Amino acid sequence: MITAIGNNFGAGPITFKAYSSADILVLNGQVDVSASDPAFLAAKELEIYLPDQPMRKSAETAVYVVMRKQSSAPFATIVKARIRGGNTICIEKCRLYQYYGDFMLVFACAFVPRGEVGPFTFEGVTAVSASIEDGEAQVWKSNCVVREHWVSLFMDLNPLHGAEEDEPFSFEVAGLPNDIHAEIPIMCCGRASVSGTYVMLAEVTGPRFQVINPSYQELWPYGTKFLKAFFVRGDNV
Amino acid sequence: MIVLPSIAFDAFAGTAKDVTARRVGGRTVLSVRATHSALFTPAQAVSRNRLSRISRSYRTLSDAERAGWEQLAQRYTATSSLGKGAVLSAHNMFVRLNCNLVMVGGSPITAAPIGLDRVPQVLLTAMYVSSSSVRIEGIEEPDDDLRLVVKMSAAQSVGVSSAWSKTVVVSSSEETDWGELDLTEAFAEVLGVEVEDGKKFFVEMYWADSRTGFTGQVTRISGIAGPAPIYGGSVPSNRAIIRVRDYTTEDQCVFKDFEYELSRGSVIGSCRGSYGYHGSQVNGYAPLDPQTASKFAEHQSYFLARGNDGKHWTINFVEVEVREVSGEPNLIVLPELDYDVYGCEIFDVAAPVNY
Repeated sequence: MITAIGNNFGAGPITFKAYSSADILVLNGQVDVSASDPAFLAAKELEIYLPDQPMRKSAETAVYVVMRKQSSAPFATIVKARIRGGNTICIEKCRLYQYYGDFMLVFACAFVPRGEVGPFTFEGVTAVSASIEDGEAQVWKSNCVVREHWVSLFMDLNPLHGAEEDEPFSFEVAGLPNDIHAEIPIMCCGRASVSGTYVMLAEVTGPRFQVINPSYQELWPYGTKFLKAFFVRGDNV
Repeated sequence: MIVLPSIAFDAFAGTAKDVTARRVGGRTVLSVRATHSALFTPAQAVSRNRLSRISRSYRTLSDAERAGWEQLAQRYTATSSLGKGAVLSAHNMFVRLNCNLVMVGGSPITAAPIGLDRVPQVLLTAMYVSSSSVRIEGIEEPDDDLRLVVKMSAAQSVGVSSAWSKTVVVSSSEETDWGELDLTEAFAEVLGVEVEDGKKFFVEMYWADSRTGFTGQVTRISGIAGPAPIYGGSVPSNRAIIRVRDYTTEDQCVFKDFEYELSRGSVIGSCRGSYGYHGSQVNGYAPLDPQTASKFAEHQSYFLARGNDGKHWTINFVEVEVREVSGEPNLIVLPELDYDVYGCEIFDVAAPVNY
């Protein structure tokens, strides 16, 4: 776990499940952001201050921004984030707060440095497959790497839906280890808007994905869904 | 009638014509007013305007701010490490630090920085100067707030042993590209000519602190332009990186500022840049030179991408592959953008896998 020392946008205590080394920093966690907080409004970019990490600076990576409009499914976009000075996560300020107010940052990402020289060894892929008791879930494309301390997962699913409209459902992804836990968005294609992409939030516990908020109208159950996330394994410090 | 200063009077001080006499350390020092050459480049014109503007702004400081600069100047003198302490007035200190700050892209300061920052010397592994490229590799970046200032001379004949006074700033405000700095375009732009192989070049470089304006010790390198480095090892950078700056394919796919690089520690790929197309959604193929391609095994990975063509905030994904097509290595982008998104910005990290 990494507990942030502070932030510049008025958020409360921030804690990440994390794996940190000089080569990679993987974070899982969420941060609620109040778009009316004076500190947030004054910030040019959002900063989360961490204890010193082994990695001094990183390439840009993507952090999810999940917003909510009244009476609809949540929708999301991604913003740029990077490590600066070994102890600060710098996050691009998403302008959509001007229209939709408060939002949530969802970290299911990895930070890596650049400018490194080889040798480089590619990972073997871990085969994954999805199953569901009531509904349909089929993996169209996937890319899964399982390492000692982290997991990288990309899945393109079509179809993915439960048996009942608007009812929470769960599915399982065989191939994932039991020691991962995070909440991530699942993107619903074909329902994009200028405000982002409609998403379903899923709580991932090992191979089990519990979809919390499906909404038939916005999420179009027969459209393609995809997810991409890094997960920290075990109780890494 | 003009009264000229005379060495007969120990306590003489003042200016007459271009000669100034002043008391320094108990002695009278005469100096001649410096004059600019009538010929100067646009860059020099900017520099001189900057200097005079900053110099004039010293008058606007409050008494407390001036006192701060005087204290800093005294401390700077006392801590000089070059044997005898350098004498610097508060005004000179103000002008020097602020000129440095502006040069490296910082904002001028009115309050004197607290303390004397120790700025490290530049450490690098190699520097190449040739007609094809001017670049520095293996720069150790000690601090995110330091900016590398590089000065270079124009081409000199091989027999010239010193042209350090002829160096001009070719790069000052950019962060390095993760320890590398490509100065090819900057050199041509500032000097107005390209590097000529077989000629001798003089290079000076130092770190400048973008918060305070303090600078580090100068590293000097000179050598004859050609394929061999003028400093350091002859092994070129082994970064596994693909750069596609601005490329449009036959199918009208546009790569812009596209960078794809591998990192260690299990191989992770980081990708940034933009990709778009006109009309129907098609895959983009960017051919790779063999040297770049040799650093990559054939592999694929998936990156998140944010719509930037009318659908600014959508989340999409692109599949990025490095593989041979018709016997030629290619970087391939297979977009999976939402139904009416025609371009995307990529800034993501993913774990690529072999085929």
